[in-house]
Amino acid sequence: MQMRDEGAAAPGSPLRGEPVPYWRWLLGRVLQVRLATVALTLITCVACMAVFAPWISPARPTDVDLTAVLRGPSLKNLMGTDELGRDIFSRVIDGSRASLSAGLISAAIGLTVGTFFGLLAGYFLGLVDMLIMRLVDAMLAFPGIILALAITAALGPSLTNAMIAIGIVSIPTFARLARAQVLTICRLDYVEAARCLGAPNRHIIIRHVVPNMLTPIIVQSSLAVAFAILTEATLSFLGLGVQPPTPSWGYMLNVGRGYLSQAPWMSLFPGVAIFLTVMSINLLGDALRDALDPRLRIE
Amino acid sequence: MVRKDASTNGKEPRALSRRHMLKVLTAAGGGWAMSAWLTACANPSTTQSTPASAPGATKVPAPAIAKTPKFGGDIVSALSTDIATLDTAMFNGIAEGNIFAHVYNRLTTVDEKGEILPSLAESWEEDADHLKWTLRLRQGVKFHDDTDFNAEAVKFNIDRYIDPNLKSLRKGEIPAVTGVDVVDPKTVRIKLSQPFSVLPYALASYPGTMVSPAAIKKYGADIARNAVGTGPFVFKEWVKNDRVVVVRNEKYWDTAHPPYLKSITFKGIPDATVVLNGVRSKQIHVTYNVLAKDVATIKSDSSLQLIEGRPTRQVSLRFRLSVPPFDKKEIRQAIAWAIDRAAIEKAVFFDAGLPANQFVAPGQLGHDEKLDVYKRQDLEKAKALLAAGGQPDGFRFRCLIQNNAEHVQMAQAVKGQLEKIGVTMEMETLEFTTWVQRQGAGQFDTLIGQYDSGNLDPYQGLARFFTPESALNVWNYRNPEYDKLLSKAADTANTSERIIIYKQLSAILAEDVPWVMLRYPPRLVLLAKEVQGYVDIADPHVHLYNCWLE
Amino acid sequence: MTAYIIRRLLITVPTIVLVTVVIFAIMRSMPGGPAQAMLGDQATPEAIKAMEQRLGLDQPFHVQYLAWVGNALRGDLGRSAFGNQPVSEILLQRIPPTVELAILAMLFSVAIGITAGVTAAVYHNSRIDAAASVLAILGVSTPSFWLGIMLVLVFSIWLRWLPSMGYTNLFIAPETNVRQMILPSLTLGAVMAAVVARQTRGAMLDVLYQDYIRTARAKGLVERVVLTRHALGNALIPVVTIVGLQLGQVLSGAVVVETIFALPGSGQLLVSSIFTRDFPIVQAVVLVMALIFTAVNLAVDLLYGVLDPRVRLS
Repeated sequence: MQMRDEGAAAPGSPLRGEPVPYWRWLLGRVLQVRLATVALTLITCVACMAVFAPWISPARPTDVDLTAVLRGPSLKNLMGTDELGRDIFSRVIDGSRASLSAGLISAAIGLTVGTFFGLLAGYFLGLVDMLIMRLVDAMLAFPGIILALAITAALGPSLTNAMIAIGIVSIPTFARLARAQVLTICRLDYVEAARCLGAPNRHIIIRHVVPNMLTPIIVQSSLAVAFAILTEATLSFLGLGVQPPTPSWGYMLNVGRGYLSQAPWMSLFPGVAIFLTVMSINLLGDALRDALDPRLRIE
Repeated sequence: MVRKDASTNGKEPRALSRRHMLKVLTAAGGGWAMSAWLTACANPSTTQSTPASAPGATKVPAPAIAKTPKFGGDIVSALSTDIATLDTAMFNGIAEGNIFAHVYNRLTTVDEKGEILPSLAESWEEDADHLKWTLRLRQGVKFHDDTDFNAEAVKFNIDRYIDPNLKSLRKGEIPAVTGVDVVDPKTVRIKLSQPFSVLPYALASYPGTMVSPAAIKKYGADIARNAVGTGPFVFKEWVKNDRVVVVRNEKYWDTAHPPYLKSITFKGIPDATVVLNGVRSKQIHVTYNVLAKDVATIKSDSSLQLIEGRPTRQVSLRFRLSVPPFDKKEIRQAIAWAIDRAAIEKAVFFDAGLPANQFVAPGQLGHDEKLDVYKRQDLEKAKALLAAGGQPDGFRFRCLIQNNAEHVQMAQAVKGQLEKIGVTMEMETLEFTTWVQRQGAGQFDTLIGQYDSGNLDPYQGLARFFTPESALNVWNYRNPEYDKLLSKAADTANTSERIIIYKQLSAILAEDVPWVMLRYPPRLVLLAKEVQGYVDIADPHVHLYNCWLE
Repeated sequence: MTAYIIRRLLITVPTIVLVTVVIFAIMRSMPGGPAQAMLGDQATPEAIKAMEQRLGLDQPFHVQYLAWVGNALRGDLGRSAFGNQPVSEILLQRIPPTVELAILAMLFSVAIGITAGVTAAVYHNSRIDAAASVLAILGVSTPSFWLGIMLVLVFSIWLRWLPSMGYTNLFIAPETNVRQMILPSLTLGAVMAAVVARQTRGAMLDVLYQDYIRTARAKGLVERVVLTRHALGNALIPVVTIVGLQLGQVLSGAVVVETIFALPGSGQLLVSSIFTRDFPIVQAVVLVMALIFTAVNLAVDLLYGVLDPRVRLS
């Protein structure tokens, strides 16, 4: 990426003057990868599950039934019941809300804040760079989980606070990545040419820099969503996450691992749910990456 | 005490028959606490002495096991938390207590049935005015640093525990003790501000722990990371948040009961699943950190032994009585009646513990089997009480829960049952320190907590949670009748009379419901098959000094 | 170069100061303190106040902070709020297991990750690529605590091949140590290997379609030379960044892995100290981790200069 000399060649960018809107074009490219189609379908399913959870779950996810604890999968309870007799199928459906919102919102925080500051630092350099990067270094110097853990413990355990904490933790990665990209891109001839021609900074950033740094940022975003979902699960594992009885996959997995020998379905289904969701997001990220690479498109 | 050990079954007829008896009593309605202890408990104010030729002979009856003990062997014992401090004046955890049980002796001790026996004190006597106790001390005992155990040492330790500047947690456990007089090198007199008939029980617990005065002086603040006692094991090292190692005391005074193990390594591992994996893969030999849900799995594994001790713990839903609608007794009673404790115990905890309906646990003196409240769910009564309390349509409230698996499950089960009377409980799960802070600061409407007295005598808990002068009465419970009865209990030396008072106190608490009692968790000890000779005495710790490795 | 390093070291100072201020502030904004954690739910308010005084926690924030900095500069990291042990003594016991775990996991992940990534890129769109990619995806999509538990279940409980927990000093009992470290470093390394593999594959793909590679091939160079000399060298630049960044992940992962395997390392120490509010330990461990991280960062940047001559270190 550092070596790309056709900086403006990002597909769909206005310089190329392609008639097809960028996102529709991108979708078309992504869908050409078979696995990505599967991934996108899965993600759509999970998203639908999250949106329509109250209408599609057969039982209320928090309904306790002490006469039916630890039942295996059956027609009545498709994924069995948990240690309090709650329907795991309904809980997995409802749990998609916590996991997806944790993933998307945390990654969005990291993406916007991180990329913005990375861009500023890499483009303007000097004092701005210095200040931003010291802060980023300081944040990176914390192990992510520890920072998330400490922030959540200080704010009080809840899903919102966990999302804020995970979001904060993913800021520095985006910032450093964005800065590194900007540094390389700005050294390219055409950017320097644009500068010499007196193009305003805003123009250069939006027209030349941003389109060229998209590829790694998008790949990183997919990783960040996946990271956030897994981190939420880990925070639940360490005891700071979604508040029970609200289901979250991480929490269900954590409780279920204690019942591994008695009721493997308790950990199997939420585990599979995390796994499939995270995997789909990663696959989508890969497909996006391939789709966005102009070289691959040409060949 | 029920013991599951396939390998020794049948080989120990005497022990088995006693255990069987207790098991039958438990099965017959949990009345064992009463019958077993009423017959077994000696009146603690009578003088006891041991023949000098066999010091500690009556200490803990050796278990009737056909196998002969073997010397040597290193045992790993898993504790439920990391060690916070080794200062006996400042610690507040069962984990530290487990280590101290091996490094230190206490002035008195208890046996399997809760009977008080001599230890560092050979005999004791209450004065006629009930304001002084005279203790005769064992001779020839040395601390691990080779200094003598004597009357001065007793005075030094107890004075330290009750020192108002130190703010030791032990002070609250012997509130009536005002000082100690040294009569002669082998006799001390403990002075009281008011009658305190349970003193021998208290001295079998933490305040009776005797630390080397020389070591306390030598180490200063560093006594928090050193332990010098008279016990069967000598403190070797503490690697923070990892392990504490103690090694065999070659010069242990109780020659009739020498420690067999070469060393014991205590490891703090909070996660019970990790612990169980460690026991199964032979890296841990002993633990009390066992979850109820694993009991069935453990029992089906022939390489493990599970010991069920007498239940002294209790889990409860606690109210702040100044917060409406909990200022109304009817509302609190309604909640107590709305909970089906037996169903929860069966479904969530596989009947490992017992449903709870009163403050005094079945493993303590004064538990009243006949107290006929809250034993079954009565939704009609609960609804009527709600209406009487002015909340016929139910209400919402917040409840603080510690984020430990069993508490969270209990809370969710209770929440589900309260929904049936239209009451909605909102859970707020917190890590332990936050929970403690919120409870101590009174920042809660309700919370679920666990109390483990560990003592046979329930006096301490009854006093520290519900009397107006106690700082721990954060619920603002006030009942003059209760206070009067409680001071009468402190003044009553006769155990069976005291038991009657405890029952009355329990009944008052059940009527006023400052706490809704939920369950009595079991006291489980998990041992690898190789560990032999374990005796479960009536004390909350796992005592390994009689054990050896096969 | 030397001037650059000195300047970088100077830049590190504000970073470290920032880290200590942040952790100081976060820890002190938590509800409850070491007194509540140690004395538990049966302590009187007086006892808690007395202990806070003894620990100096009744002082204002800036006084506490400046006192801590002053002592730290003199090499005194304070004493644990629990047990009064010197923090430096505790660190000496707790850092080696984490360092060993981190090194093993990093080696494992770099070896597997780079091999898999390069193979997948070279055989782009083939079955090997698909297989490697699927494995990498499986790796990054598995919660590490789940993987650890599964490994324990299979290798410790069912097969009884490897211990499920514990740590023995490498120099005292090397064999036991290695046996104990296998499962933890696999658990920690697997996720990282997947990340490294994905990054390597991405970077290699980027490089492989560059003109100079085409030129090299057109010159008739052997493919192996093209790959190793021309492609990999350039592809390694972003990979080095990622591996450097991964160090933070290693320490995060260590927290979880050390919990599952009851490994007495600094990650587990840090988590339990946060929960028990043992301020001096949290501050010291975070400080040390920050120093290590900054040092590795500097090393990564220096490597950057070596790998990519266009990045001038000035």
